[in-house]
Amino acid sequence: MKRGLLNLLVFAAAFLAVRGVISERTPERMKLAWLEAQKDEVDALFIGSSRVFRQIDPARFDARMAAAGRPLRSLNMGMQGMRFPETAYLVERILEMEPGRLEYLFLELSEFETDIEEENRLTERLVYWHSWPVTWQLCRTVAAQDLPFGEKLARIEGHLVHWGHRFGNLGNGDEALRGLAGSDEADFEGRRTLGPDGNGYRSLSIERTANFLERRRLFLEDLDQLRRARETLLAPDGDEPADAALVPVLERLNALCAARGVTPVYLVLPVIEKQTPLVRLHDAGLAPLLIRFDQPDAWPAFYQPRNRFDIHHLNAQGAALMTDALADELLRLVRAPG
Amino acid sequence: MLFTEFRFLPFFLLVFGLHWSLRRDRARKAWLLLASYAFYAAWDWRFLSLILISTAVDSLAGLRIHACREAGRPSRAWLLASLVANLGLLGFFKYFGFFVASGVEFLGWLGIPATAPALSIVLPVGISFFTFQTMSYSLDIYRGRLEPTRSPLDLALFVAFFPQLVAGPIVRAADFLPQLRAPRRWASVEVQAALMLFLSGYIKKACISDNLAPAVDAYFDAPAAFDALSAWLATLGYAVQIYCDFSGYSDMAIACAALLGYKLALNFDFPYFAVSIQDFWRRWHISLSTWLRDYLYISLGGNRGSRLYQYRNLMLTMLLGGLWHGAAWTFVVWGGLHGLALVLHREWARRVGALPGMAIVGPLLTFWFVCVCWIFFRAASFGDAWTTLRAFVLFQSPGEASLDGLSWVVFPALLGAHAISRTTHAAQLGRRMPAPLFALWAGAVFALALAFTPVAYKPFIYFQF
Repeated sequence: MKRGLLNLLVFAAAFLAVRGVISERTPERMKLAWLEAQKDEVDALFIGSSRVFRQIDPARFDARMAAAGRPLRSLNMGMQGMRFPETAYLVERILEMEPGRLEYLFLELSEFETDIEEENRLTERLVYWHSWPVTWQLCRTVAAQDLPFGEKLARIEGHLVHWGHRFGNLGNGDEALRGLAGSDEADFEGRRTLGPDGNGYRSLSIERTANFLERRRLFLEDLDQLRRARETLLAPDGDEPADAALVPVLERLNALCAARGVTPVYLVLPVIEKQTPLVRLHDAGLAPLLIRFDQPDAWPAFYQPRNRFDIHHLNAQGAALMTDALADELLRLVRAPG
Repeated sequence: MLFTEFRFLPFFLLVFGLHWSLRRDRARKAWLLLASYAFYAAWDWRFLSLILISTAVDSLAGLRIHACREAGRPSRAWLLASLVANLGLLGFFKYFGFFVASGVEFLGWLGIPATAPALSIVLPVGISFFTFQTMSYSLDIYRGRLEPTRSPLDLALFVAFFPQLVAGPIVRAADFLPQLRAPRRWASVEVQAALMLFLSGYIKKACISDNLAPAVDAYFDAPAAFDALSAWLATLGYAVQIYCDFSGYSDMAIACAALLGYKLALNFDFPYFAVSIQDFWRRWHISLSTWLRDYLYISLGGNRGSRLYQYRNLMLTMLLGGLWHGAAWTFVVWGGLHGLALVLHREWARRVGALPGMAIVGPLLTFWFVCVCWIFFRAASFGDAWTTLRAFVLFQSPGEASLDGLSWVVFPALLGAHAISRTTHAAQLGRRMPAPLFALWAGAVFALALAFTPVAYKPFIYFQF
């Protein structure tokens, strides 16, 4: 028994030692490495899901700001399927880099969703941000959620699996080898995330693969759903409270940003469902600067079929309109007294 | 649940820990049965009923066949009941759609319009394996080679034992039931050899097969877009992929069973070193090839009768063996090609005999032929198979795309896969190593193996069969 435990300890020590060497040699994934290379030249970053990645064009934004006498350089750090836990994690990593000029962080506000969509399950990106602190926070949030026991268990298991993959360095072997060989080539989950102009924006209008075309076809087949979404959004807000799971996360993010002198600007993009629990966060003072594009009466163009690629996203034309609107809103906010 | 999945680790540790901490053998078996059902239910609990039906039918059939034999009465009806029930399940869930679609196509070819019923049938994972396993139980009793077990628990565990439930090795009742009757002892478990086998199986499956898969899949998704070199690389790559995938699974299954105190038979024995096609089938998926030999080929008449009759038996066995792999005509052609090669090999051996130099030419020729057959096994359609075959045999490049990245991977992977098998075959290494040294080595290798595992799981190829 004693000898068996000793052997187990030897096994664990050898495993951890080799794991540690591999982790050390693994270059950063995703856009973080890309940002690191130019961290002192960036004034604004857009962070969020495909609604950021596909709808905010930094080149256009910068031009609009420059024309208004506020030149700055922005990059799009949006990624397909990114949820708020990931956003929060990314912000922490970015601020740790101490980017010299960073002034604005545009953060897409979305629910602190604890479920993992099937299409994003076990993607390198999702595995990447399942560090133990993030995983632990997610598991605690799930435990406190009002869900059936089986569902809670399934969600916690899903996050632990992602953490396990990260802990085990799954998929990092080849990069570790390159690192050991002295190569500092950073890899991302597809260079596609950098977009054709290399600023992180990639419009859906240029996608030609079957999956995207099918999404487009389904949207055009049932345009009525956009009308229904408009009606839903125009209805008066319900009495739902602020998203409680987001409260500690936003408090932490706001504190981190304040410590680095960065202004967080929260965004609610042209979604098709009511975002009342998120808007309540603004009312509670947790998202002091909030720009909303989810009001079809104020932003009718975003809810017109000609500016949409599918039910969830704008096309290139809609993205251009929204980018301009975003720049204008920022200018309005910064020029507003107080 | 896959052996390479993260969640298998806590599952197995729980099963293993409780199994060996229980004192009574009956409690251990009940625990293993429960764990096996949970393992299967993790995929889809609804199909547990098929395992239960198969177990119940063969339990009853086995007892009745034996009783009839003892009383000197005919027992054929009970055997037929077992065969009809098992083949009925297999036929409905695996082949119904295939035969209906083929029938509709054939009628269309004859000019008779017909439409297939819109029926979507899910293929229950492992059905080809557990139905064959239970049928062998009834067949062995019918042939007087086996006494039926009086313990429903033993029979249920024989059918559902989780390490081999979903993709084999196909276990014979005569090999497994005696193990269930004798209490398992921890002292007789060769932990190091089992862990070594598991680790080598993991490396074959997760590090070699799963890393080759994207390039191979890219080629076979659109073979007409690639050049001839890519056809070679993809075909050789698939040969390595399927070997590592399936033999890796078998190694892990055998290792898990060994850690629980049970012995499963070897399923692969360096198949790509085979000197002839006959030798290949003695080394590839041994549990299936021996099953087909004992229960199909011999039932058809085997080596009895004229040569023509024997060759007919051989062809039928291989054609049905091909169909067993999947409900598509490409699998039938794959089986047919192997059958034809076996017939030709027998004729050659009878008429010409061994020639000098065959020790070198034999393995190369056999491997090349096996690769040609893999084209039909892997291709999504006959059109794709012909495109690949033309590129593979005649070096005709239908397209210009190329699998650059694969060129330096395939051959090291092929050699690596066999080298890994050799270390386990020798068992060997693990058994001889001092325990602390083994722990050190295994910890380091496991960490490395995980790093070379792709992030997303890839199901075992044989799960679809």
